[in-house]
Amino acid sequence: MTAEGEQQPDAADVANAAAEAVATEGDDRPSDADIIAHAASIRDEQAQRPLVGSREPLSSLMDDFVGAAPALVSKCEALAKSHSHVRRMRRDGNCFFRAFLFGLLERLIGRPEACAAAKKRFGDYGKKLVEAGYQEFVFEDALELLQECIDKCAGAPGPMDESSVVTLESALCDAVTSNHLVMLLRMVASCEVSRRAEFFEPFIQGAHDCDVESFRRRFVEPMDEESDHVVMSALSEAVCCAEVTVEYLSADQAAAEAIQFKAEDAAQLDESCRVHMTMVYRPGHFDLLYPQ
Amino acid sequence: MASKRIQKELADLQKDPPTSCSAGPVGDDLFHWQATIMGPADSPYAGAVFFVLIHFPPDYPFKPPKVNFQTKVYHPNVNSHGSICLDILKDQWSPALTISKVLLSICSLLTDPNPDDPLVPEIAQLYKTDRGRYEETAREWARKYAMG
Repeated sequence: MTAEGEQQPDAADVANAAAEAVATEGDDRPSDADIIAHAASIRDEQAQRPLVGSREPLSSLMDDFVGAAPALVSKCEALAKSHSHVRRMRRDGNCFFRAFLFGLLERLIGRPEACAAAKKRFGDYGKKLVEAGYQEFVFEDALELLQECIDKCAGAPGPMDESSVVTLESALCDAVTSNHLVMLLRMVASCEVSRRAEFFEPFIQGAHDCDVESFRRRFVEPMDEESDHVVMSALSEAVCCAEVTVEYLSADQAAAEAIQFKAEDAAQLDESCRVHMTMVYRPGHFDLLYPQ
Repeated sequence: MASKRIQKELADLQKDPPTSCSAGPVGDDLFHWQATIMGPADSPYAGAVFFVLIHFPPDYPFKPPKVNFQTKVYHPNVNSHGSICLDILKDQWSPALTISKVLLSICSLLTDPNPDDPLVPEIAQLYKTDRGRYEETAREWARKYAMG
């Protein structure tokens, strides 16, 4: 389940590129220079888009697939029965982390009790990072930024308060703030992978053919690296209060398949402190979904 | 925020300096450092002192620092412009790394070249086929360019 094709603008292009590759195999293959130029143009195009988009009706997601991937259109239709909106993340390799951040903070708005619990959880995790050998100065500013964001959520008049959502959108669209928070979550996920190395090792070896240490160094901690199920489950374990449901849109299954990532200890938390979010995944990309 | 992070790295280096290297800003520009690396004792570079230039990009630590040897060095992973072929300075850079860790990795690279990912294929070839001659040349260059 590695997220291939992250840099592609949408599934339609992925499908077109695949079709072209098959059609031209052997004779008119693009040169390395063409491929690099194409990748650069996609990167530039993505850089024009906000890091976190605004809420759009779910039909906009369907528009991605019409004509290109009919199987996915019908899956979107099925999703539309239970979901109304989608919030797009920039396709820069950090989409899972950014969706997680936005999903978490947005659902903490106007819930002081949940905010206090999340704030404590991250504060405690700062200590775990130090224990695991991270130098405090590499993450302390980011942790402070996150605590400030949580404080703002706690002060909101009520859940999903509109002006607080707007404030959060602009905070997470600011590259400096947004990337610091993504960096922090990457370290948290990486540290959790290391803490549960024995559990994750077979999955890592199976999918990446490398040991736990190189996996963390190559795929979790560097920015812009795509996330796989190891990262997703490590992060939800580490953050504990956040439960993530991922709706998978892939062409080879009859219906969208939902997978839940939930910490083992989550059951011990009071419901008032828990956060539920849903993401939609299609090859290479995560966005946030909003239930009806 | 980049400058805040660089300040912290500087403070950390001053508080807890690595044994084999030192680093700090050149003049007033916090984004432009010079470092010295002592040739590791267990390498042909023993006794040499290498000067290294470090440039921090404006979006540091999300992008890696640019690190170049100023002193000529005979090594499979360092070319005549002083460019260094090291994974953590390219795609394996992460914001969890620091200049201190980068300098230590360069020290390890001096002791253990990586001839399978060379920047100078001829030196890599010699390193693989005639270790003695490689070490001799590396020592000679170190004497000539990196001592006093």
